[in-house]
Amino acid sequence: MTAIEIQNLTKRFGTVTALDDLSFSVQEGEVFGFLGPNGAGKSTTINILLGFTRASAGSARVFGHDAETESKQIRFRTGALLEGYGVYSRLTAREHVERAANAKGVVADPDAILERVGIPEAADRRAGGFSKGMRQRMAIGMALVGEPDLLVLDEPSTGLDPNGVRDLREIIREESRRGATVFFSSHLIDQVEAVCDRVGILKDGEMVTEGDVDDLRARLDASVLTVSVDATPDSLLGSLRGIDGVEEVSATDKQVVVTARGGVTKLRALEQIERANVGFTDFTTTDPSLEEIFEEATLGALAAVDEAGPGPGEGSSGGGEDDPGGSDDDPDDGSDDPGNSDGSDSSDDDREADWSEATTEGDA
Amino acid sequence: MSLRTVVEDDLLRLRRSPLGWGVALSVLAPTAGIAAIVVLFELVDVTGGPAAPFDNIVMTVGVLLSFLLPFVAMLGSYSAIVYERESGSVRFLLGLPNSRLDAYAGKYVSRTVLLVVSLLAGCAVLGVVGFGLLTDPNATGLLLFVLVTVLFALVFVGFGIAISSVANSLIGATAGIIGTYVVFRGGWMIAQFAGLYVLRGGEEVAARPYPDWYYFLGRVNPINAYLTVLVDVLDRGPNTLARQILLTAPAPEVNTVATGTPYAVLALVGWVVVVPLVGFLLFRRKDLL
Repeated sequence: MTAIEIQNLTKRFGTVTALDDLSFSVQEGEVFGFLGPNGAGKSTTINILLGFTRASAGSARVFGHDAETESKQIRFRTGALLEGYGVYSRLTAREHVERAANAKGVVADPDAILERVGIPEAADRRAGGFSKGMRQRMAIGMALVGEPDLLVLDEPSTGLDPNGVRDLREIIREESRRGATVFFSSHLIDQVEAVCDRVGILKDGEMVTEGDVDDLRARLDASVLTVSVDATPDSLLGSLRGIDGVEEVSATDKQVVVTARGGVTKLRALEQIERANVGFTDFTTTDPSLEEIFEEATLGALAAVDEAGPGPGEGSSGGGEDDPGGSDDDPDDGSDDPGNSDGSDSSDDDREADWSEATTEGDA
Repeated sequence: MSLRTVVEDDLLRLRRSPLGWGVALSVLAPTAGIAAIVVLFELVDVTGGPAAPFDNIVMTVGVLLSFLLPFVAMLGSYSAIVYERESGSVRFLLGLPNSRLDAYAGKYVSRTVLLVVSLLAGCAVLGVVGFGLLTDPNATGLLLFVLVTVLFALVFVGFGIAISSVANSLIGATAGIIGTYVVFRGGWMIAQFAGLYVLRGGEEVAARPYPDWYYFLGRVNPINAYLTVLVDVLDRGPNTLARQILLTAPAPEVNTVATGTPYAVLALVGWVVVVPLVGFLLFRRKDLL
């Protein structure tokens, strides 16, 4: 069953194209990492999914419900932690959680939820005095209310200390084990890599690559083979460079380092070294990290692979659109929208303080 | 369920905010405050004569409210939605399963409750003082006064919420309510005279009687409509205090449908219905982030 299905989604803000014919899907029960550099269009995609923003073209469906016309049904089944949120400074943490439970029409135990996110002592304190990390933990708690079928987390580790990040990872794993689908949007690759089954990488409003992390590694496939030897004659290095699939060869006195695509290439390189009788003692291989995949995807190489055709790991629709264009000036992260900043919630406090002085309004 | 949640949450936050108390006090000042002044005057016995007529005092309160209530009602509602967008809390409001109608109607209801409860409390004090101390207390007049004042307040709560829902910033919404107040308080009259100038020419512009359209246009203004109804309900003659301080001539020299109370009530009801409706239709499909 498909949890999220996005087809040919386009969003324009005036002359700026934030999303350009975007298509991808997320299956139920998946933990999907939605990666992309700042301004790629990640938050715009989420804003359309949850009904904050209308698409210029295309469609977005969640559990079969149309994001534009059936948004409320979607949000009944969704727990959302959205980047750039602001808390109600005069409500306590308990009241925030109760508010989420009331809106969803479920019975929730605020104390248990706040305990789970690590701020049980703050239940009766007003959120206006919380640190960024406490606010983030409270917002995560609100997203968990009612055991949602879908968790949408947009830069969820913002403001969290290392313990908080670890707790967040554990919560995501628990929610995944419960059967929830998790849509994890971030530009922090290590956190996505730690929890996600599959990732999609967005750039300039287009999905440049999508698939299982292992499959993407296989597609990138430029792992590094390091071989320990007694000698590194030039003749050996020359013969290694002649193997099809070897991209780079370097050497020190006791090591040969081969950057190669594909397991067969690495095997041939090892055989070549052994035949050369240079005192082979050991070897290691290093797979590309998700960070390298991200760099390749957003800076060119993997996108070029996608344009050439889908790789072995590309299981879902829509990855690797080859339509050029898009924009690197996504209003999604624009500075003229104070509520939609680029990953930092640091402006919330300042803004609230400013307005409470400038008006009699406070948070009402 | 969601509508109720939005209303309850908003009222809770209003109760804890300076805005909520500021609006309540701004409504209590010209109602319960005037009642307190009446009590003071009677205790000191300033005039030495009989107590003031009930209708005169209530009319005076009405005239004061015709100045204050439009602004206070909009002040109490203009930030309801746009502030949530600016602060980011709209991500909670509409990230939870509240529809845009729930959010819009919920804010409208909560801000109306704030204003109406304050108004009823003030009028209750006024009623107690009026029936206890003033001459010729008039229960029907007071009841009609309360009803038309609530209707009048709803017009401007509607403007506040509608402006809040379509503005993209709190500053824009602030400009919106100030502009609305200026238009109804002074701009409307300028528009009427501009019409006379265009149709009659410069020399004839102020010649009496004014044409019917002048009153049709003028009494659509909710402030004028409110005063028209007050005069019908409470006016007791040309020498009353209310007559002396009213900006709108209570008894125009022409007799058209436009100068009657039904037209004024219809105008108020029209504003109450149309403004929030238009606001919601614009808000319904608006990009909020």
